[in-house]
Amino acid sequence: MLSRLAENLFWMGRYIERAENTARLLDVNYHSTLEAPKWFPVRWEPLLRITTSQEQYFEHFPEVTPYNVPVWLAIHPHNHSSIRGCITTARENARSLRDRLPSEMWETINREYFKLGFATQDLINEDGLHNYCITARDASHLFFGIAEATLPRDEGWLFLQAGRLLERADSVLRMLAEYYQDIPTSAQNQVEIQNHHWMAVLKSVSAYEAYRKQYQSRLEPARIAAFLLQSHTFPRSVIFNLQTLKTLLEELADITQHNSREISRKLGWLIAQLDYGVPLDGLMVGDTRALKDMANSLWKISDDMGRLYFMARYA
Amino acid sequence: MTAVSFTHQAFNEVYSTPENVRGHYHVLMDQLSKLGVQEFERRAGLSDLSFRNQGITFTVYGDAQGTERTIPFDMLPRIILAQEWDTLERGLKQRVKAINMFLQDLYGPQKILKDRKIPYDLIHSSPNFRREMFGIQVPYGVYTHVVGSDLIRDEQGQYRVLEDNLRCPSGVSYVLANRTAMTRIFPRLFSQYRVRPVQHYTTALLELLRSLSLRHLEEPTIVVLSPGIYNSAYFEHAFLAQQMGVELVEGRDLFVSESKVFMRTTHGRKQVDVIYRRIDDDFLDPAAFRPDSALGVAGLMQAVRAGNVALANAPGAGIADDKAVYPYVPEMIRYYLSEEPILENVQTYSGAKNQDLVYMLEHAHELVFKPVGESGGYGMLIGPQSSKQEVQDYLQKVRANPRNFIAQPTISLSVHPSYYKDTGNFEPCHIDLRPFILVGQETTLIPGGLTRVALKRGSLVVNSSQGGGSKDTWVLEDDDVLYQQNLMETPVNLPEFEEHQPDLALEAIKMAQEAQQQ
Repeated sequence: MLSRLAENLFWMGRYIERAENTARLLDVNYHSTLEAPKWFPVRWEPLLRITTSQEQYFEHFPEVTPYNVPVWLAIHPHNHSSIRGCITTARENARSLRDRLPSEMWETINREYFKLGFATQDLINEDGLHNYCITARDASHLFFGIAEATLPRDEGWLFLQAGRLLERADSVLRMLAEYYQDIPTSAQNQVEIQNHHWMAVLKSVSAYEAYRKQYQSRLEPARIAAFLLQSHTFPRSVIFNLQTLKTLLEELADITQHNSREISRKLGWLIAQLDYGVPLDGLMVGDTRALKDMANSLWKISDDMGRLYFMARYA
Repeated sequence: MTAVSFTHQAFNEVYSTPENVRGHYHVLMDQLSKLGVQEFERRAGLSDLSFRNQGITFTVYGDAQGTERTIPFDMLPRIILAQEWDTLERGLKQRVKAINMFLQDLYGPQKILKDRKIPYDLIHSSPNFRREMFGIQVPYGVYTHVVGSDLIRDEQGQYRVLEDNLRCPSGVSYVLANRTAMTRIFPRLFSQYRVRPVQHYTTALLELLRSLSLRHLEEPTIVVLSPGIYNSAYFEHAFLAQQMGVELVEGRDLFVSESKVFMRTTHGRKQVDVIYRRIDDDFLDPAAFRPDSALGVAGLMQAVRAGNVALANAPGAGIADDKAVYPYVPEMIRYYLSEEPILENVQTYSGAKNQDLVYMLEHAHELVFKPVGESGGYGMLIGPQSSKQEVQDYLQKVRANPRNFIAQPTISLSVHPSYYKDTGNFEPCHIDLRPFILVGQETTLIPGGLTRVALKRGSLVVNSSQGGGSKDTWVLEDDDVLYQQNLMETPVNLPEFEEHQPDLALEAIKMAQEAQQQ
């Protein structure tokens, strides 16, 4: 497979997954702030940090407001990781893959792009944010669903999945790192705030119902962290994604006859850390360094893949 | 309607007189008129949406980011009689045969120049003449493998060749897409005509490309070379690659080593045998042509010369579709084949000839001027539709560089009804026809081709970049109009349904209630 196409598939997977994750974060935060008690501080900075776009944000806006952040994360033309930006880039990638992608996949991303790629501020002025986020989430499900049903299980599939899994693990890690940094503690209505906070965390990764099914107890921060980091059955948990990624990278190494032992080793180390609970130690007292380190290692793995498969020097 | 006066003389494809529909259009016009505006528009809407969702688009240059547009699809098909097509097919085969012999001669002994049938200067002053091609052996002596010649019908209904496109002719993907759309939107109407199929084009193209492979492998590596997603014909490049199952590559995916062409894959390098290139000569190889080209592959010409890779179409083929060389094609047919041309050219004045130039300058308001180096309908002057000032300004450019211009009389292209949403009516629009010819060991044509429509009212310009649209083109298998039957009229007898079907669920409830009461 052409290196350029492999790279496009990988990034298409990442961008569509990223659009979905941002949509979920945005939707949950927007609506949880609406329902929050009046004295509860409305918090939008975490979203900028989770999406690692706070520096860029401040180049365009002087302050964080409940209007500006959604604009930034959903549609701002200078934010390439906005939902609109991700869908546009993913569609661009798909366009350069048109001869390879099953037509149904291309048509889906093309159609969703027409729904999402041209949104303006009217979206928020006319109370359309929720709908927009739902559309983005569904677009991702539809796209990967069709891929699942029609894309031959060759290298192309593996690169697409690798992008998706890597992005998802990264996004969950960054979200947890952010939300465990300042666990809400002292306030009058402790339970109410706690509940609000942890529900938002779980819902941001569509894990609320799954968590409830597994633990019929109240929302306990330690259990939530364990669930989202270590569950071997929940498809959005970090370990689930990393393990799948590892298997898949090994398959890729077999097919392409490239030696990717170094990448496997790094992934294996991350998985071991998660499995044996290392990152949970400090987490409950607000020390999230371990999670941030893991997220950064993931970026390095993404880079390594690029060097191995996408930038091969032959001539 | 703002059409200029001479359109009244145009040949009408559908009506022989304002009241009389030509025989082979009877069934079509009859049924469409019965369909009603509402239903017609409903189907038009479906087709628009389908083209858009499938991303069947072309890119418009000059816009900020290269806006993609769908080519307006006009739902009234054009119908060509079998007999007419037969003449066209023979004429086109004759033409491409002579053109290929001309190219072989030009990049070899140049007999035709020595015999003074074509001026030496005309060839050697053309930027489309590629000296790099001298002494290169091309498979079967064929230089241009995929040809899209533009045909028009004059006032008498006679087909004439307006120009040949020998480099990277576009549009065949729309031929196939239009056919698919038509059979989806009007399946029953379509089935009433015996229309010759077109969908085998990509198979024929693949076979042709395979036959060019120089390594004689069972599975040669064939690629389509595209400038990438911002090119106006990108959809077509991707479509053809996909339909043939070959790799769609860009220049950056390829490299040359030891005079062989390789592509960069996740497995390492892979040798390429045949390149169907959709990049102009100028950009093909920065080492041989334009050094600033980022689209091409450095060293490609060296690999061609070494016989390690075949290019379709060969570089340098463009010299034969240079608008200044075009007037000589009938001469080529006589010279190489000793035959009379079956298809005629449009009368053409060339700025390179003195007496022609004088005529061009004096009769500018009757002529259509074209720069020889442009395509896509850019840079033209349509004399009768231009103001005095526009004509004067244009002639200044002509005087400054006469070699660079040709002029043709304003032949009124034939008209065909097209649907206009604003009036809810069919109105006559000018059309042309671009058949696609594949030249290898044998020469094949798919029946029909792309019919382009000048949808802007009164316009003679059919190019999509200038607001033109396209329609499906039907070549009939058989001219006997009795075969084209009006099946929609056939009434269908359904057995009558029984008045009342007992509702089983209700029955059950009733029975249960009765049982309880007892």
